[in-house]
Amino acid sequence: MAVQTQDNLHAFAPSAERVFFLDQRMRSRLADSLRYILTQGEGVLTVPHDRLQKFLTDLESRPVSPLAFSFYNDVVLAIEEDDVEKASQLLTELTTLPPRAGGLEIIELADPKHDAIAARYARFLNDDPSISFEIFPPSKQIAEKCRAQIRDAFALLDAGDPELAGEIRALLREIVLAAGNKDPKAYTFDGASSFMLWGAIILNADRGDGAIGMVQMLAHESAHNLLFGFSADEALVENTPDELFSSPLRKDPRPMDGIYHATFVTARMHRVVRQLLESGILDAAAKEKALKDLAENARLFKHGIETVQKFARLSPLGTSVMRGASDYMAAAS
Amino acid sequence: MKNTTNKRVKLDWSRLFGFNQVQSAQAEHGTKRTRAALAAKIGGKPGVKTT
Repeated sequence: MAVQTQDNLHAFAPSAERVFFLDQRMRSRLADSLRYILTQGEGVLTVPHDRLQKFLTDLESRPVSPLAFSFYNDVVLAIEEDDVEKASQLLTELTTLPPRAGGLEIIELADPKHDAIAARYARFLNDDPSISFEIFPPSKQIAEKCRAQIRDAFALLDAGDPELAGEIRALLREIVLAAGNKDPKAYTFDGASSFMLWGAIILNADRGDGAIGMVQMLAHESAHNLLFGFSADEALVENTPDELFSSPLRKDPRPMDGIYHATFVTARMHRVVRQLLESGILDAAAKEKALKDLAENARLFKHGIETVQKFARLSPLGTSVMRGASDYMAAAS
Repeated sequence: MKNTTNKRVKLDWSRLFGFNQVQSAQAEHGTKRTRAALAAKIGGKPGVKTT
């Protein structure tokens, strides 16, 4: 399926319009790859062809569940393992995903120990072989509090940074509320997203940093999705995954792809805080926190960009995208 | 990973969305490395992830 190109596709400034292009391109590439798999697997894979053809037609015409990308990922890995029975089963399950009406849904994670979909989310957000952390359903009370924070955050965005509000609503299909391990010695998480869950973010709903913190969390995780959308056809970073570096946002050393993402999303967090401050809509307490966070985001970006400039081997796309973030930070300081 | 030469369905990863960014030298190391290349982005603020 042909996808139209768009001017300023990789600009640093938010834009809902370019996200419609990115989403269409992601779905188009997924459909192309699934058709290729079906061609290669003809006579070997056992799938409901009519249902799959309808799924592919729908996939190219309207938004789809983020889970569709995860099923595709697992189909490829099953075929790599020569497990065509599992691949066939996954392709069949793919056709049963409910259609999406569009718009952003906030859902609560079920128990991954008893719910296959919840287990799928948990697995895709915890697929780094170097670490392992637990993910749980949030309590009703915590989930309700988080929903209120998200509502307040979007109210701030609509009033103070409508362009980013529009981009986030265009990028995200699902915000999945979850909870982490409260043991101070255990790994936990603040938020997470995955290329193969395009359009979904998972948030640790047990948070205490209010609407200003939630605004930055939404800016952060949606920016990861934006970078996933940018990199549909081309990698941002050419360093190998086993080259590890100090990260501005995590204590553990990370591959350059992770450093690149962390640096870019930190600039996006800085930008939204600055927009809200300049809009004049923040009360005194929110303004105080915003000023503190603005300085912290600037410090973290400096940490990240120094590592990127020193060690990264960027693709032309990666160079162009990071230049936008760097130019913004230089102008803002 | 099983023997790659006798797979019943042969896939050229350069034609697979999301997998085509994985360099062939990396791909030979198997699925764990591949999945790392497509890894989730987990984090938030410093200090949240503790060891």
